[in-house]
Amino acid sequence: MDNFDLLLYGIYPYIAMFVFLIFTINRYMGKGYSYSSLSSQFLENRIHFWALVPFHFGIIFIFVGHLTAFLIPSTILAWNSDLTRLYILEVSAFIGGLATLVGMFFIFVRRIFNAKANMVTSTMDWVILTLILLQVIAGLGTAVFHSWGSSWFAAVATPYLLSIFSFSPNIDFITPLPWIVKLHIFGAWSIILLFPFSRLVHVLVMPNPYLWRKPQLVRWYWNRKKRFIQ
Amino acid sequence: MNSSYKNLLIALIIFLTANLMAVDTAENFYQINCKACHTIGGGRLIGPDLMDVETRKDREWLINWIEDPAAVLASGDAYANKIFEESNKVPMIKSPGITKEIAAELLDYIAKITSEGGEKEVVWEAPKFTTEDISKGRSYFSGSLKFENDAPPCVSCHTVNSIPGLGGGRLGVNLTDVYQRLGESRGLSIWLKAPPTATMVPIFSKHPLNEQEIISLMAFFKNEVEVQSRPQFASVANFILYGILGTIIFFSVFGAIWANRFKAVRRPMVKGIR
Repeated sequence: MDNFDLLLYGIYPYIAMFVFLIFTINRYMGKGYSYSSLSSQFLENRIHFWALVPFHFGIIFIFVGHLTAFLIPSTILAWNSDLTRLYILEVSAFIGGLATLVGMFFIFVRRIFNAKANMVTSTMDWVILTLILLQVIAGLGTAVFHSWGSSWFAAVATPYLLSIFSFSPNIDFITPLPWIVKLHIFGAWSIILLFPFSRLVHVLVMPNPYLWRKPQLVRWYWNRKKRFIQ
Repeated sequence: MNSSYKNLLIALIIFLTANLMAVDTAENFYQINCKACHTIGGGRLIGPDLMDVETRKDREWLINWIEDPAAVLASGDAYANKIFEESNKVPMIKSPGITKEIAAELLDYIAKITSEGGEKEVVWEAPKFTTEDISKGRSYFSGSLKFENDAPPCVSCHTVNSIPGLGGGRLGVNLTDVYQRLGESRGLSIWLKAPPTATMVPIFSKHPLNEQEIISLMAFFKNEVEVQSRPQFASVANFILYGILGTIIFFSVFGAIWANRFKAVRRPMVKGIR
């Protein structure tokens, strides 16, 4: 067994999950109000739309796809048993990945060239953005050069993840995979590792009721014109 | 990080490392990793018969070869290249989890079977395939027919030239000529019983194919050699093209839906509550 693979795919995941668990709880208990996406939409609103909206739609679609393939792989395989359906799923996921990539491009443009957005971007923001960018590129590369991931995920990644979560890690599934797939898996554990130290924590406090509650209208409580006259 | 976290992490690493280092016995290892291509006294399959293998090359060479065949082949070794040529240019596979120690145990096991007169020679009768076998084989390959033991369909990782549209998977090799490469029905049937590649061992050791599935797949692969379809080079380009077109549509729809986003938030809401 390759010791390097053992370290990256057999031991590193536990370090990542351990750090994720301890420090996510620790941050919530100690600095609960820091659980925020730290939105900068106030500071710049135009590029923001083309950056954040496609990025979030794309990445949520892809994340749900990965989660479904892990939780109910037989359903995905049943769907993929018809080649046309397999192609629809793979092309849709690829579009989701490309939308995320284009969104990330605008995120970088905005945070580099807009002085206000640049000012509020921390070192950890740059680290996590770069990591997600690499992750998206590795995912797209996997989709193009090592298809059809939606099917082989069930045979390769699902048993690997199950072995990790059942504390009997089996990296035999991962060792022979192409480097770009391995990079994608390593990237995923790295994002989990850095999660509690970044603004990604906002995922855990997502204001879901926004989706169904009635719109709230914010209005001034006093007569502003009158105040200025005085 | 305080000391209790550190201790917990160290204990975790020791526990996991010990778990991962467990090794199968040589016989098990041989059955899972070697038998698809070799016999001991049963004649040649894809690779050579291993009876008396240590009379052909010394133990040190054999251990290096078993441990990392690609490296020995790449070094230009004449005997390794001879084996490669004789095996229809199907390279010897590095078995998952192989070490020098396991290679030595394997050689001990082969020597033991050799001293017992070898395995019984397999009398092989090539099966006669029907058109129904070919059709079922195609269905197993594409996944429209499910394998009994829940093995994933071949198309997840492999393609053949006759698949239309965006083609089959590209994680593994193109299987159009696999029937020829793996020694026709005899070699291919043994290979399919326990696929020995590093990617397939962990999957197919738990989800083996049954006899009927193997026959159907062999019929399908034989037919692929006979029909000789042309490679579908455009499938990757088409996949990328559909992706880019879809993304353009995605962005256009977003632009259209929220075209009034800077002027149509507050006013309609105020109007709505009146």
